[in-house]
Amino acid sequence: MQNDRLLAYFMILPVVIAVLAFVIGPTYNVGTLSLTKIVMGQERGFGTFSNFTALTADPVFWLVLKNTAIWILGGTLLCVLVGLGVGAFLSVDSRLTTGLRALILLPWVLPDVVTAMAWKWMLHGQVGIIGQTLETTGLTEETISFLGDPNLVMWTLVVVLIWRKMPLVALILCAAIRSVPDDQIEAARMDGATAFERFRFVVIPNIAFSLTAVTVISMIWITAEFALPWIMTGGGPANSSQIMATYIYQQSFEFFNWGIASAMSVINLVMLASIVALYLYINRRSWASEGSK
Amino acid sequence: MTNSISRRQFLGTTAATALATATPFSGAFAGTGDLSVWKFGGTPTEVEQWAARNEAFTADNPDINLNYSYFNGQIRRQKILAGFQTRRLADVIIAFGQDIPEFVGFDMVQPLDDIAADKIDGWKDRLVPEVMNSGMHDGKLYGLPTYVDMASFLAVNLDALEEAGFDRPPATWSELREYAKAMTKPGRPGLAFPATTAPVDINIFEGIAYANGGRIFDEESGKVTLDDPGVVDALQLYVDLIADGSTPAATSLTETFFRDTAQLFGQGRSAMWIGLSWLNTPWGVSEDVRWTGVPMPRPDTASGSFAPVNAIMDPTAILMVSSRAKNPEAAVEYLDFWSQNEQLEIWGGQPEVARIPAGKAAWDNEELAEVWPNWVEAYNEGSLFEGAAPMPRFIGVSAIESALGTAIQQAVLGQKTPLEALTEATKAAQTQIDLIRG
Amino acid sequence: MNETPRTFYWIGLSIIGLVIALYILFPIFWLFLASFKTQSELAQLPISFWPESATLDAYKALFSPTHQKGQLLDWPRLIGNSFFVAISSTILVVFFGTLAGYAFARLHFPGRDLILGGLLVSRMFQGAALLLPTYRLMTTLGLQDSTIGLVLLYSAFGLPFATWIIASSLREIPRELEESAMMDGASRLQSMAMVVLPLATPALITAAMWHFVGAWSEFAFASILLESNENKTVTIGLASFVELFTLEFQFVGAAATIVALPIMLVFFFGQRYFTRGLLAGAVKG
Repeated sequence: MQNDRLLAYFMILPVVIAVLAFVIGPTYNVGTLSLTKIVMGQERGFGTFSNFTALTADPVFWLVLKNTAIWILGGTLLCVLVGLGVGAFLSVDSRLTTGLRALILLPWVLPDVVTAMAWKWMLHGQVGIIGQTLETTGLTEETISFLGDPNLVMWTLVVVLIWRKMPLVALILCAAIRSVPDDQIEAARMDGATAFERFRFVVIPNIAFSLTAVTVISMIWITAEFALPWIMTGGGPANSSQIMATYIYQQSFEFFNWGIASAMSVINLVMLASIVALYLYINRRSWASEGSK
Repeated sequence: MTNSISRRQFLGTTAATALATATPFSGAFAGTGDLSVWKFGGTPTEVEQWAARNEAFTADNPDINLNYSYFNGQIRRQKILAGFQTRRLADVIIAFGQDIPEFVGFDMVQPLDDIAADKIDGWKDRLVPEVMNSGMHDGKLYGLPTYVDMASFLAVNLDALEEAGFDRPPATWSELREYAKAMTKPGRPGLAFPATTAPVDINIFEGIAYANGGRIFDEESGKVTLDDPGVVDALQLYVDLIADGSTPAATSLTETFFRDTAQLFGQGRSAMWIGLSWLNTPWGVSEDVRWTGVPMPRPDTASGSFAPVNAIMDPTAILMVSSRAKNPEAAVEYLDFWSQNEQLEIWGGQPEVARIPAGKAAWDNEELAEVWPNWVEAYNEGSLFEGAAPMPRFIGVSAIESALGTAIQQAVLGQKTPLEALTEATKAAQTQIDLIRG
Repeated sequence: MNETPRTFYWIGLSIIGLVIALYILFPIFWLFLASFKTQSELAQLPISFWPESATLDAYKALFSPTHQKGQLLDWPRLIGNSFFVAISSTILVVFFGTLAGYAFARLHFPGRDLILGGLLVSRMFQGAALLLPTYRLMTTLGLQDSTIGLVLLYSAFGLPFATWIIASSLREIPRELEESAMMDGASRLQSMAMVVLPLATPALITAAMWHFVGAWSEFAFASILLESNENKTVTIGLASFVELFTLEFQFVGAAATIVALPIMLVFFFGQRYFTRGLLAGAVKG
């Protein structure tokens, strides 16, 4: 047992060192910067909350929080729901679904800089193929500006986000659904359960773990996503798509105000870390039960 | 001035000009050692030409080991900031004139007056004085400009103009509204202007506001002046044009940045558009569109508290020398190389007709005269740069321009009146700028 | 089931399939179409759907040394660099991720759950705010403008998630198999290598593919860290077509096709393992 313990530490050492050095180190840096007053690019005094007070006084920041909630919560929820739907579809055996299963990962392969530009171009009401098609087929009477209309922009971004992140979620859930024991489904069918009831009461409980897992994974990805909103709207129009990631970028690289940017990322971190802590707490049982085996 | 240069012609002449300009140059006092250079973005031809001219530099200066890095234009500020924080800036940084005060304030770049003392006279000989001045800050020269962009200009479709019964382009704001309305027909608005968050779109508006006596910041008092009547009324012009029904839908303007606007114009989807001096960059103007470019119409009476300007300009590829340059001699040699006519000729017509050239000799270029006769005429008369001011440049300029961008979008979308939007923007920008400047 | 509902079922299924395919694949397809169009056709309004006079010029331009779209980008080199970075960091991630994953799944040691949780949470720390501190760190280590530096950085970014996938899947493998091997005199590491790992192949492939794609398509850190042309990766080349002034979607399309192709091949052959591995990772999170 003693040996095992040493071996274990030895085995996880490289991972821990790598993460400490390349991830935790810079993060610590951000933490100290958030408590540092920065004037004209020079550090002027550590141990101040001025960055945080400046943030709370900034009206844009509250708008940013609201938009970020749509982005992260709305994005995650839709990502998982659409992923569940598509995953259920893909779990059906047919030539069509087998082909789709291979192709569906394409959105994930190209760098987001490129896909963001492509979507921006396609969605444009006047010079984009989607805008043009909607208008010429008579689906919309007037030009529809997905990225220029403050009421549409946030949800349009979410649609693109889902396009990029959902395929993997769908594949994971598809695999989970396919692993649900056939006899359970068959038994439910014998009892006269409809397709929806079978899905709701047999499949869902069986894949509950996968669902929680992809929810948290999607949330982590969506939080880290920055290029899509930045390239597609730059936070506009009128800040209606300004989210944490874009505002942090703007504060540090456009305004050269990296103290504020750091404070914002600390707030961002605390919020997300609490969500993950919640997740780990919920999943505590699975680890504990394994540990006692 | 009609203009119908096609992409094909454009590319065809590129190679010829490259050959023609490839005459060797040898520096008088060549520096030695390593020299690192960072360049950010640019038009496709510019990027291509820059790399090609670098080869000539290397050939002329065998003792200098040129380390040229080209970066995506989008990462300009983050790369420079990262270099600054790690004390690893390139010896020569090619950035925007609008960046100068911040770079100087953060001690990233050094004045050239001392290190390039023996070269500056030559630069003055070869460069247009007004353009050369755009490298000045606080009485010192911080950069060597290769060209400038000027705001704001108006492109006019001549067929649409004649069809509406006009014989000359609009000259005042009220004429602009009248023309835009008269030239509007179903599916083709009279005027399009870009109103996204892209900095260039904001520069286009600033050109209009500055011509109206507006300013965005008063350096002496340290006060943001976005709520100055000069700015408010300029924004009111945008709002009026939309209310007149002379533009695409407001929500379309806020998603349409300058390049899309150019495309709409070039494909006959709008009769006029407002842009910078690179209006005639060949970005898809269909060959059967006859058009001309004129200065943006003036306010009937300027309403701002400051002196109205004729235009604002910024050198968006200005060579600066890092304050930590290990090899200032070689850096100055590189700047001097770019001050030579052979290099400045790039902006003298084909291949690059998009920019206002810095080199005096470039103005004799026949192609430039053919493509931009109005410019060349104005330059020869000495009126091109008359009354032109630099684009806003001071520490924290991005914060104010970003607040301005938000206000423009709010007003365009009708969420707020120009005055409300700009008053709020003034307050927000003042807070930001006080934070940055301490 | 009689014939009519069955027909409806298949029609319905096909329609859903088409809608999904349209949503997922159309943007990619549109870029692909653009790669065969000319500059003037791309500017044209109304937009033409199919290329009017299909041309391979964009592809030729990418690979012809006389016409490298100005940035003097050497596409074979960019692709080579990207492969180097993606493959090396994938090897590192899978190797060390397997070691750590095994420890987390099989061994008992104080702080195990906390450390694994911490690793997962660290995935959230990436973002715009980390760019500068990371750049500073890489410079201190002398690893800026180096593909080796990128390999290390990407590995650090990829390890937590890979460890987690591998650990989760290893826990699915019955302990008895391993125990019987150890009973026969194999050491723990031997039994891990000989008995457990072959069974965990799907998870390893999953982690590898996951990481490979991430490393292949990363842009933000590569764009700020790499300076010299000979070190640049393919995403930087791709992004150079989406500059402020350019409307050159034919090059974006062509380059995107070239970049996506190798990855698609990997997926095509690895797809089965990929989903199975992810399943193991996700089912018992």
